[in-house]
Amino acid sequence: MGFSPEAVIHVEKKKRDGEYEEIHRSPRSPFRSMLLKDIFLVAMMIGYHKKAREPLKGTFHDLFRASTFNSEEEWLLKSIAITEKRNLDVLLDENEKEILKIAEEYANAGILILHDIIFGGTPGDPLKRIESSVKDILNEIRK
Amino acid sequence: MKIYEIELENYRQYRGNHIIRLSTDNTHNLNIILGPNGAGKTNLLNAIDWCLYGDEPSLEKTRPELQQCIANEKELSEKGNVIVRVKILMGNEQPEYSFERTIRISKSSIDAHPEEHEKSWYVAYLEGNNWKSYNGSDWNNMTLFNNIVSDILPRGIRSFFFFDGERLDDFFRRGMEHEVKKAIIKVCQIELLDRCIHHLTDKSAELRKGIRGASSEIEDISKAIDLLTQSKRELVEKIENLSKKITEAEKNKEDIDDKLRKFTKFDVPELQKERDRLEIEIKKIDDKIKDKENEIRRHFASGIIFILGFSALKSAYEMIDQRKKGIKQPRIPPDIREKFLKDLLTCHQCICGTELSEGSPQRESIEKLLNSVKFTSKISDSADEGYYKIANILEKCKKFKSERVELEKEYQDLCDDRKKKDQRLKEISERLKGMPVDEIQSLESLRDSFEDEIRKCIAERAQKELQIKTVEEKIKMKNAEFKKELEKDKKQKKLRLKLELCDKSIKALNGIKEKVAKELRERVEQKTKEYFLNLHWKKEVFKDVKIDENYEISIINNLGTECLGTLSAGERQILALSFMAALSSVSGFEAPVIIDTPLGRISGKPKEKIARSLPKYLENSQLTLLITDQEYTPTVRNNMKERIGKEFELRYDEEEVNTEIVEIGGDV
Repeated sequence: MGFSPEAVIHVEKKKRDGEYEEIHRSPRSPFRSMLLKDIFLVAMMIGYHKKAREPLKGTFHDLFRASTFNSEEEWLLKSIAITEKRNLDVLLDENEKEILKIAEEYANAGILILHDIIFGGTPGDPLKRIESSVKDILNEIRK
Repeated sequence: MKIYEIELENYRQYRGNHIIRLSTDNTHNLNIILGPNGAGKTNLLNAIDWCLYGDEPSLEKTRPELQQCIANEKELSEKGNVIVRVKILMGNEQPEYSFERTIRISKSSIDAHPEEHEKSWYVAYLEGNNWKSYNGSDWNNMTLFNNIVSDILPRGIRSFFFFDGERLDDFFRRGMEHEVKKAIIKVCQIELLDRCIHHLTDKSAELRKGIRGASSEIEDISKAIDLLTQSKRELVEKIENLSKKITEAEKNKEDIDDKLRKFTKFDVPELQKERDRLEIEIKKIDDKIKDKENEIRRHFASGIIFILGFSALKSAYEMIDQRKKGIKQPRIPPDIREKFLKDLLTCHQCICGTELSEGSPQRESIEKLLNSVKFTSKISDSADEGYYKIANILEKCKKFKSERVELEKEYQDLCDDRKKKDQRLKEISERLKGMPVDEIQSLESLRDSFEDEIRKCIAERAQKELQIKTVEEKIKMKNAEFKKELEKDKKQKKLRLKLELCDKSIKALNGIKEKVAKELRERVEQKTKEYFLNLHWKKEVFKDVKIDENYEISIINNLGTECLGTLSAGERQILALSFMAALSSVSGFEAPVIIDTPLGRISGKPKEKIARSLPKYLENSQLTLLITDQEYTPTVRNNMKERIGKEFELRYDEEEVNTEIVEIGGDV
């Protein structure tokens, strides 16, 4: 199905210039040179995992079009919205904005956590640290 | 453009007056100037540089001690006073330009250093059938002369037309990417853009400093930007110096390797060969390690999002599943039911015959049913799609960990392999240091110290590069702060606009610079490949020549493997000549090419093979080779004869301190 072509993913402008830029450009970042869409998704999911959700404030920045999500990513966003709303009505076209808003708000809080994981000064590989924080989930999946 | 004539008067070995008239015939445009070491071959090249540009770059680099006096020493000591003059006649189909530089040199009465007097210059060019000439007596004020020379061949790129064949190999030693980059950047002539960028950066700083009546915040930010800009410049300078040190150490290390390869005692050459092979393999492993690191990062980013969202995916899947189980399966699909109800409403009659007139309770009941069917059908369609997609994702999550473990293992294997090879390199070094020959021991220790220096410099350079990035970030932030503060102050609107213009121009110029450099790199790559495959005697062995975005050159053989490190000295010379030809061709200047000792480092068969290829080299340019008799063997001569126009011999008389230029052949 895919998101509508006019739908856009927003982030706070100061976070686009700050955290997103550093995670995207810094040679110390394991997500350097990756697509901003991928960084957004990691931030969103870290936000979701840590139950950190924050409405966007200040000036917004158009990060990318929602239609660039592939179908798996699209269903990840929809699953979060379904779980949050405890209702499948969120799948209706007219609720697309709501799905994206939830994603944006999780990413808005998650980007700060992700930035801290990478640049916060804790020694060791940031990827390994993220991975160890989901050890329980990985064990559950294996079962 | 060709050189018709070179006239030398009392220039170094050339005592008195000497004229050399080169062949300008389009089909026989190869000139050979033959002479033993010390006869004045390189000084002929120096004379051309001195006349046209006022300096002697090859002496400056190789033997600075010889720079002191350009006058013939015998003439100077006998007469005490001597005129030194070099004149060059150049043109396309006929002589069109004449350049001359003169100086009078006398012995100093006070010390050993000679004194320079009466400097003069002369330039003439053909306009229609008439020569227009200009002259002057101030070498610091010869703009017209310099402009004409620059139109023919700018100073910055002359080294790709007049060069020393023995130094060519430097381009393709390991770690010399910045030399290749420097050459390509020079040929782009983008220093003009660099100058503009510097100028605009200075202008921005000047504008900021010139603010009057601004707030103390603005002044503080401005000062901070100046300090950061200064620190960036210092870092750039340090990086350049470190790069030079690395180049120098790499070269020294390679020279030691060359010497070790030539040792006949013990198993030194075998050990060195093994080391050569291991170093190539390590380079390949390093590339693989980098690729694997990227693969791990990509795999992680694309997989971890689903792991982190596992609970949401699972819960959404269960909700859809429950809904599917809870809904009574309709006998007919939702879209058909929707169409059926719509048809009833259009016909205004139910299948049982009941009238469905507007406003009737029966019609309202059907309309209500239609809305509910529409809603349910949309959710069902979407949920159906999601049901299968989410199931796939959950399945994929199960593989994430095992795939990641596999990737980490592959990465670890590569690292272990590298460690083993490093260990073997250490063992080789220890064995060489333990050889019972002092020279081998000291060469190996020296090599160790060069390796150490390279390692330290590379680490320091990487650190400085990181620092530059941080400083650049800070400059960017401070500039944004500055702009914000300026916006608050309406009086500074004009200044703000000027600064914005500077910023936009710098950004645009940087964009142009990158684009031009990329385009030129690709053209040099294409031309180098063309020349290399054309000149090489084993065409079928090589498939491609590449210059990547880091200016690293690689040669791909027909098996698809990179083989620059295994090229023979002769093959490397062909590659270097091809690269030089590509640079001169891409530069757009059609100047003559002069190569000093083109075959100096090549021995035996490869020399003859290169000689066979040389007539094809820059076929449309006048090519002059300054060559020793060891290089110019009868076979070499025979292999080049079809293109030779004239041959000269330099005969040096040690007693008279004079070189005679004698034409010995021609139209062979």
